[in-house]
Amino acid sequence: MSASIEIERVSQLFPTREGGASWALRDVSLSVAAGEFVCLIGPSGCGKTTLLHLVAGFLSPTAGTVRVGGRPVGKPGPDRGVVFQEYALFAWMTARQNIEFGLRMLGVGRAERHARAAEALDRVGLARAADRYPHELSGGMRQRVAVARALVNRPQVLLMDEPFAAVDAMTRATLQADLLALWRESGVSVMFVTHNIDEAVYLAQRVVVMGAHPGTVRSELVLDAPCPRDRGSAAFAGWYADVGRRLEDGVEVVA
Amino acid sequence: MSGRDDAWVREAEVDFLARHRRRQRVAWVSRLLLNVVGVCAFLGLWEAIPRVVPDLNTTLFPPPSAVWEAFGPMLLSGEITQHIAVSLRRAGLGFAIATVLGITAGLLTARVTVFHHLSEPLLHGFRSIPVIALVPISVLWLGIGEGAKVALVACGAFFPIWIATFIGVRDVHVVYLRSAACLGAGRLATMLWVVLPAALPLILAGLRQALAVSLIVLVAAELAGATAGVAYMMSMGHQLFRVDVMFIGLLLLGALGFLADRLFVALVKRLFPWYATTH
Repeated sequence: MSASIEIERVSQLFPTREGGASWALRDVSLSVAAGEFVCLIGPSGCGKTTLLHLVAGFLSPTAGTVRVGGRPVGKPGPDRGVVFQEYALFAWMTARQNIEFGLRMLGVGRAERHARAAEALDRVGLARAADRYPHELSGGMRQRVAVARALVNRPQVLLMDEPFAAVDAMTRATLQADLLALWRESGVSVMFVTHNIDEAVYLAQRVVVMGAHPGTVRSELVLDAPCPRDRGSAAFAGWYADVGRRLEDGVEVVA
Repeated sequence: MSGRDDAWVREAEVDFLARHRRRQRVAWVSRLLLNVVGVCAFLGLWEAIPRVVPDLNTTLFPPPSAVWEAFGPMLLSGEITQHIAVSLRRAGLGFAIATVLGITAGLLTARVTVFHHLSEPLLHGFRSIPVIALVPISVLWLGIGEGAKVALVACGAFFPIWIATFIGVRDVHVVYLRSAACLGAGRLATMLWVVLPAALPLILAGLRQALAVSLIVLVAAELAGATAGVAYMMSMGHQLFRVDVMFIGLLLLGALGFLADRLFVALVKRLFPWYATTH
């Protein structure tokens, strides 16, 4: 498989309040294959969100290169869809208008826009809620609209920054299962940031474990089991424990 | 069994909704009634004072009945409507100019760093000057014509709109800007479809404040010299020792300010359903 995201020896420094410099990321390399589902997991301060922002183009790296589809990342663009933790839907637009926004920016004609938005809403099971404003939707529904809004542009990669962290556990499980179905249908590469081990083991083909201070990639774990996975299985429990141990190892290095 | 259950459920719903609607109607009617009672009590008290207080000069403190007697002929002759029309035109024009300039200035200073830094000290210096202090200069420069009054109102209304827009635009949540960027929106599209609507709650608050300021400046400008207008009418009443006419002016200003504010709120509710329901 060809690489979709290539991160090569990337470092990111931020100025601290005391006048020093802190390493959000130090010498990080990572690549995501086309159509692959990768979860980034790690303690707070490990730079997982920074890494995602670099791929999205919200930041440019202090050192190193980030390429998507072979081209260096500059500004944010519609080839990289992003789903944020929350509050990212435009409050002044209905669900349908939110989804159509990206198509409008790309200059897609009215008829095709309507058709594609309707299809996207249908795929996330929200055809009935098309004309509701975000404040009239539940947290889970809002994140479904956010996913639909990102996918309707048919991006090459989907970047997700703890998208289900703010919804309740039962809704989260449904959202995860539905996300997997959408991922398989669309063939998009997914880079998914989480701090939840269960989520990473349930979703990912590959889990990248990161450590903090400085932010680095500690280890990677390939989970070659078909989705959806049975949370009650022995294999699932084994992976869960494995990722947990790797995270603890990372913390020990810091302490 | 299930058929009977359905009937029971329907009946309970119909009954509940009927009672709910009745309760709402009672609440609405009683509110309206109390509003009217409040106004009547005020007018009654006002009417009673000259009759109860001994030696009160009703020329200086005319009761509502006297004010009404003066109001009737002025309304029928068209004098009042003319004053109102002139004042509304000045306030409306000034407010409209201030809205366009204020929002543009707010957008530019909040989104373009050079403009922000250039205007920073000037903005804070100018906005602390009460616009009423400019009235004498404006009379010297522009005379007492329409232009002077419109310019004064525009000046007064401009600053609240500029500042509110500036703060609203500056504080737009970064996630909105990032969302727009990764959905392919350029600078202009982001401004129009994302930044402006996101800042709208604050811009509207600024506009509402500017509406009130417009009325204040209008009165000051008309009192400084005019040939028509509600405040001009009051100043004539002053010179002719007609307190009843001055009272008519006060009541008109109160009514105009109140109606303008209500109209504004209704307009906002209609134009921005997502805003009206969340705030």
